[in-house]
Amino acid sequence: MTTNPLPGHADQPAEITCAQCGQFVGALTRCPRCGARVEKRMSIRVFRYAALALGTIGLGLLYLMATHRELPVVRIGEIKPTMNFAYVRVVGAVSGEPRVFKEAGKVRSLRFSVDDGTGEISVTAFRSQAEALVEQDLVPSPGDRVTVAGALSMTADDDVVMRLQVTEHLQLERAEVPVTVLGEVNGELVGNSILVEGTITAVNPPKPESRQPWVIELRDDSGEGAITFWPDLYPDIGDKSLLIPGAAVRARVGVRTYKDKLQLMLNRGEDLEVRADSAERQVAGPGAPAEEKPAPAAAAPRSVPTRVEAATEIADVTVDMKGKEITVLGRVAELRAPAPGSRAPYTMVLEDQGRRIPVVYWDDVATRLGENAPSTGVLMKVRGLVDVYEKTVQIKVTHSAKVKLVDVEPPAAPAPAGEGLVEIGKLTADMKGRVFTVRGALGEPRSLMKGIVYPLSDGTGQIDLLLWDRMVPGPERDKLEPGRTVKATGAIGDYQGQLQIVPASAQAVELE
Amino acid sequence: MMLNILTVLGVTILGTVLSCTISVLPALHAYNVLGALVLLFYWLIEKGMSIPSEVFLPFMAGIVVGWSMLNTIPSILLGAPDESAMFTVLPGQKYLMSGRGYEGTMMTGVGGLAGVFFLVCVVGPFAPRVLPVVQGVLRPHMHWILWVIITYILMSEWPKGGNRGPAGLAKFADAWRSLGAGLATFFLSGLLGFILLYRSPVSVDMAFQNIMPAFVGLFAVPWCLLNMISGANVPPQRIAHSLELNGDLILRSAAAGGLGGGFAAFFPVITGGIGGLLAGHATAQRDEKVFIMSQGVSKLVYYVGSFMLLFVPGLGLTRGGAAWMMKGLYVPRSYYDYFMVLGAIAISGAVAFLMMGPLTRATIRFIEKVHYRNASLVALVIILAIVYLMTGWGGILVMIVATGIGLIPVLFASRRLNCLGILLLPIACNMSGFGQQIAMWLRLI
Repeated sequence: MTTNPLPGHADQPAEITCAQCGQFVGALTRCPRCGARVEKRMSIRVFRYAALALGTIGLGLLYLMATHRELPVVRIGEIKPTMNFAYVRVVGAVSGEPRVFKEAGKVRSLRFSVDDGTGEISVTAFRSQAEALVEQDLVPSPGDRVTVAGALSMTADDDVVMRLQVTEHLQLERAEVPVTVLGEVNGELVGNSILVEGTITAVNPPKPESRQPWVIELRDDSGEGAITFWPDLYPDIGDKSLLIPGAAVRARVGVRTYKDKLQLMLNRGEDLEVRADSAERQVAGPGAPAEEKPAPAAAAPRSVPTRVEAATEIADVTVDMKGKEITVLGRVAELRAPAPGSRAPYTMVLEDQGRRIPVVYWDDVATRLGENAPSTGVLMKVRGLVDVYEKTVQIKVTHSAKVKLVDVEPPAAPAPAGEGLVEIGKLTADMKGRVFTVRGALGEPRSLMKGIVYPLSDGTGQIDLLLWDRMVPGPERDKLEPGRTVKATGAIGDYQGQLQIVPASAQAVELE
Repeated sequence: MMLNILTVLGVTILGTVLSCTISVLPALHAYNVLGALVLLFYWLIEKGMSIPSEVFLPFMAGIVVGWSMLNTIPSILLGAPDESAMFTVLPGQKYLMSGRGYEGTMMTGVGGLAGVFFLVCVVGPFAPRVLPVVQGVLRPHMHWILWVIITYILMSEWPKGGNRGPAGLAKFADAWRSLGAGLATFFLSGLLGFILLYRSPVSVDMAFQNIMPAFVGLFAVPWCLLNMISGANVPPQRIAHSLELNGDLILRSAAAGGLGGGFAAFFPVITGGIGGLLAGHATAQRDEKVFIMSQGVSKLVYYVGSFMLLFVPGLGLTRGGAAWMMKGLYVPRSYYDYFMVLGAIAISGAVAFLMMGPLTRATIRFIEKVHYRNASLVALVIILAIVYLMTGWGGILVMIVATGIGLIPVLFASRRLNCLGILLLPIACNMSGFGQQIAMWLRLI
């Protein structure tokens, strides 16, 4: 059968056209049109199996060669644009302050600089690698010796970055760092990592939702200094509730300049150590009795938000105190702004130990609060006159300097014990108002206007875990994920026939 | 300003003419030439010479556009396509063997011209507003889209045998021969990709060309070898005076090719060949002319579009070899660069198309006098020299291994597209977050 042969068919060698239909078949052994077998010259057959052999054996040998090849060590100063994508190793000392970037509490990336004497290069680790380095305590500090391997990436902006691909490719040798007294910290130390010790004189937290750093002011016998760190490090600081004026601390910090001023930069939360014995003398949280005798180093006449000034407990504020100026400390439970054009004041409701008090102030104060602007959940200290308005006791603030933001994190109070652990299936509407602890797996959350609800089930039943914004702030809730097991302690509630458990604080919800 | 405009015009034409010359050399890829040019620019910069962006941006744009358009000539007339042209080769070969090689080439060229219009007049004005949004939406989904495409490539290959004869092992093996060869090609090239990504034998000094010898081995060398061992005689070619095209055919091909090429340009690792495959299947245009033209559109939109994306203000997407090489030389920042490159693309497209007819006729005259077996031998020598000069013996070694893998689909009648496992597999694994883990299992890191 010969159908529609190509022009010049007769001139073509037999092995590249189908003898049956005249179709051009090239290297094929079976005609794609009619399915007839096409006889091939020896060379085609040989090539076919030679190719297969070459591909597989060659690749095997290449693989063996690759696995037995040492990663080349390069000097940073000799890195050229043509080395883009090269997988190489550099050996040097960490020169800049390593930064751990976090998003919603999760480590997203880690960056540090390495200097080998010929130049400096940025080393970046992303996601799982960065997370693993943080977990394994392998985040380097300035001055540490490192051998690091990764892929080079560079652009015309002279932006040369090494991407660390696996944690095993970072070998870290911690540098021994002697203690430097604050009086000896000078410009010559810029770029170095030092160990400082001192007593906290002030703790300046960043404005809520701002990108400003924390600043902790220190003093020792030789002078003063300030430790600066980014908010994402705050959760990693051990015993942060003891981070208060008067407490003695030790920190490994990098020295750098910012706007021509020396700055002591904390790179890891774990590098700040609070000496418990000194801190225990201070007040540990809202509502606790105030330390009468100020710590020696805290005697500096500076108006900083501290927890050591005498504060009146909200529960003790009564009508009888009208006209008296007092200081109260509490978390912001509610914020109300006046309607546009209204002459009504701003109202900030403070809560401490279950008792609330409204604090009122007007535009002249509100517009000058700056870094001390309140937000729901933060710890505020307010000084103002006790007043009574429509039979309600309130505090009237007349100057912005009398409103201080103390802490953006929830208090480190122990979780309430309640009546103990109970199976969810045994909870009934009759138990409304009583405090129990339940353990279960989280389901898919649903949002409310001012909070979030997770279905919590333990095999015996299901209950809604209700987390109000003001009680369990966003950063704490971000740690919760569907499928995770949690232990929650809270009051039992009932909403439209559905049982709820309402933890009163972030500490009442434990991830297991 | 006038001087700048004249400079841009001059270097664009210069780049286009240069690329047109290299385009007709079989198996020589524009990226090989660009790599050599980038090396030259680095050397000049190192010597303290400052090269204005008005010189090298339009020049490189001219090379990319000219090559994307005129590379069709050797693809069809000399049987040496790069991977993005592999789909035009079968119909193209049919045209060649029917004595209509000129017609097939010019039709692909018309498709390329339509692709230039598509990029400059359709994509150009909207890209700065639309593409950053699209990128923002798609970025978190890139990894699974890549896996879907890989699955599609592997599963859409059909058996070339096993449909005749008695049932049994022989029939089963016959059916699976081409499929098995396709899978073997994909995974072997994927393993090669892992090796090159983490432990390339190419010197670190030339690491930016790590993948080049592998591509040469996978695509260019097998075609040269096959041309040399095959005994086909090209019949006399006739020069057609009309392509018998109309607006409807051109629009249909521009839509299909623009879709495939645009997809390939925008997504990481997806190349023109994959874009062509997807466009061909997605639009299912049965007309042979539309198919040939759409592949011309797709190829041009892929190569030129991926280069252009680097210049889209607010996007800064680096796609394709040309953009990656350019990024090491210059980082575009403004609409000035964007409009300059758009202008260079338009001018270059026009010049390249005008050169297409004479160059096609010259190539036809050439193959009438010189058997393309000999031409392929010369091309093979040229690309071997380029690989050796740029990447040394390490590159030659990679090229030889890649050639072995690249010959498998050609000789076992499976898709050459499977060779793209070299990029698809390691990058898809990396984007999904477990590439490093696999490299560790392979003891590469």
